[in-house]
Amino acid sequence: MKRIAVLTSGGDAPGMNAAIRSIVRVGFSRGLEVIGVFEGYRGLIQKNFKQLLPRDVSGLLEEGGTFLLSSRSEEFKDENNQEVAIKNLKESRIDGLIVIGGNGSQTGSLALFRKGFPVVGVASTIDNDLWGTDYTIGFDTAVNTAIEAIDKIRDTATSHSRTFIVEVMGRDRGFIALEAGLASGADIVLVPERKFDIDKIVENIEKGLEKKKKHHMILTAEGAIHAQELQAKIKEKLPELDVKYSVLGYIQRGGAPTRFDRIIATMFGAEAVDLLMNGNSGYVVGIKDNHITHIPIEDAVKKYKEINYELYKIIEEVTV
Amino acid sequence: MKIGVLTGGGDCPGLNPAIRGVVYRAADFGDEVIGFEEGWKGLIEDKKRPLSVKDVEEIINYGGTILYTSRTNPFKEENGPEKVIETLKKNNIDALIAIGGDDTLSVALKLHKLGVKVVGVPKTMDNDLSQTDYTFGFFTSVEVAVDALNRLRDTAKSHKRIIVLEVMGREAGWVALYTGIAGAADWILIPEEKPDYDKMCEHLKKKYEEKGYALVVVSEGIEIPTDTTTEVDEFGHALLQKRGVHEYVADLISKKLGISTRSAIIGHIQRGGPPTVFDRILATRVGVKAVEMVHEGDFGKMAAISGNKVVAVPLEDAVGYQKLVDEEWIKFMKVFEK
Repeated sequence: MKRIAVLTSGGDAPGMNAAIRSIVRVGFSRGLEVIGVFEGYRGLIQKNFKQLLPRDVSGLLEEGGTFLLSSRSEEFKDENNQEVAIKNLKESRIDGLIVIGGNGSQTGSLALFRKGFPVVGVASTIDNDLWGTDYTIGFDTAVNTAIEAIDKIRDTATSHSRTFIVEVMGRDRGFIALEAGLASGADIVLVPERKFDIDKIVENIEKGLEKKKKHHMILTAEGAIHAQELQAKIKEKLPELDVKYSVLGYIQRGGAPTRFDRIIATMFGAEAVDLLMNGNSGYVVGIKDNHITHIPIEDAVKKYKEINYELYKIIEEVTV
Repeated sequence: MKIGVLTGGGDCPGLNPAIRGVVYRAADFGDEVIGFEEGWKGLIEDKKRPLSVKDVEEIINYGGTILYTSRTNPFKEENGPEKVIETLKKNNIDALIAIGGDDTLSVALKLHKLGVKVVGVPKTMDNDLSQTDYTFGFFTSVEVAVDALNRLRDTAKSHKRIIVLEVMGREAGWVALYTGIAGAADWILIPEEKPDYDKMCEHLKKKYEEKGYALVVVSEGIEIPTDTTTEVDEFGHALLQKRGVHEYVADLISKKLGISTRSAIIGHIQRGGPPTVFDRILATRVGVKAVEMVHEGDFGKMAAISGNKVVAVPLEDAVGYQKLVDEEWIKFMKVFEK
């Protein structure tokens, strides 16, 4: 193995840059040439390659986003495009590829692996929805950003004795909502994985009002119910209640990565280089029980990662 | 002396340091301070608690207000003003300090005309109160907005997108202007200037071609054709949340330029959080000044900042006049449209 390539794909996540930096520098230390592929899989099809040297990735550790740019990988589902990509990689004498991204991106790397090209994935998505890894790069930062926002909103909720609904990202999964909810002291957390009963929410608020609770914080993942919709439903049952909502949206994606994301990004990157150098392909690098690990790509993208229901139980118990 | 204090209107960072300033300075005079809760509502319903130095010692870094707030307007309630005056009498309050924005201070002015000894302390996150250079809350909220804009830049850059950020500002564009300048946005839309969407899109196209992304900051209060606002609060303000200004502008850009465009709104995040150092000092200064005004008999006035001096200005001159972004500032804003 002499030359490897790296790309970032799908939604950007804080820490992607730290992972790129790690791959470039660890690769260099071990005598490899590292090629950056720009704009994700699109760059692979369009042969948008550039060699990266250690000094090219200076100052990237604390930068959010991805300097290699990203794209959604729709066009890469086309097998012809996959063939073009492999041809481009081979023409540039690239021996292995590292794909930094989440579920959709690793589905792309699985396709390349099945076509016989050496590829290793690095688990990175703010959604944390890859199986086999406790955390993915970017999740910790996104949760912290959400907590910071909720803390600010609580000031207003308390000052005005309001009920506040905060909508966080998570179209299909509730990982962000669950951890942000527990860490910010939300009274009710709604996730797409669990059905909820509007009457129970209303009852919960009424009980709180009886106890002279000054505010109620409800956290919802966008895939559970949209904040505006929930506001309308609560208003229907409690017309007198002052209910406001806030949608955090894209603000959650950016920002400087937390210490945790910087560390795992750097570790994941190094492990990915190691795997390729040792001839191990078809894995996604992640972390399990505080150890860096690798999972077969197919398992990572196809197996269903359960949310932690213990967190759910605790939320209910600490909001008496 | 017995001094009453209340916070009214939307909460903002700095209310607690202002309350703290009042209590600390009052202690110098041996005054008693009574905090009325939930703004004017507390004076209508006689909801109160005494405030000592010990109670406020550690609140300087808290967002929100320990006295709670509401948008209750006594002049819109049956016998509201009478109830307020009665509560003041009942509690032997010699003077009242009302901390709030234009709405709260307009109530203070009306009460002053009815003979209540009242001093105002201005606050607004929008910075649109006249007769004062700055109001606390503004810089903290701009700080939060700039932080959000920086985060959006990461995503805009990574995905080669244009992103539109909507910030607070019903009629005044100060928050958008400061956020846009301090956060290096490519275009700023404020209510004071009729939007030239063609010019904006042309500029964004150029910036996008140069650097692969672009950022727009927009005030919630700009005019958009799809305005269907009907709901208003007790002061007659339109409830803006449903208008979706950011979505409208993003949609317009993506249709005109065919560039992938997203949008975000800060909304209520902007109201909370610990006040910045600037706002802590500013709020403390006006809180302290308000007590001095009470002792000098400077009623019907508010503690304002003018050329970095804290001065007493008549509420009459301040209330009802909005400080909008003027020509000079718009000229300044244009410097960065390149």
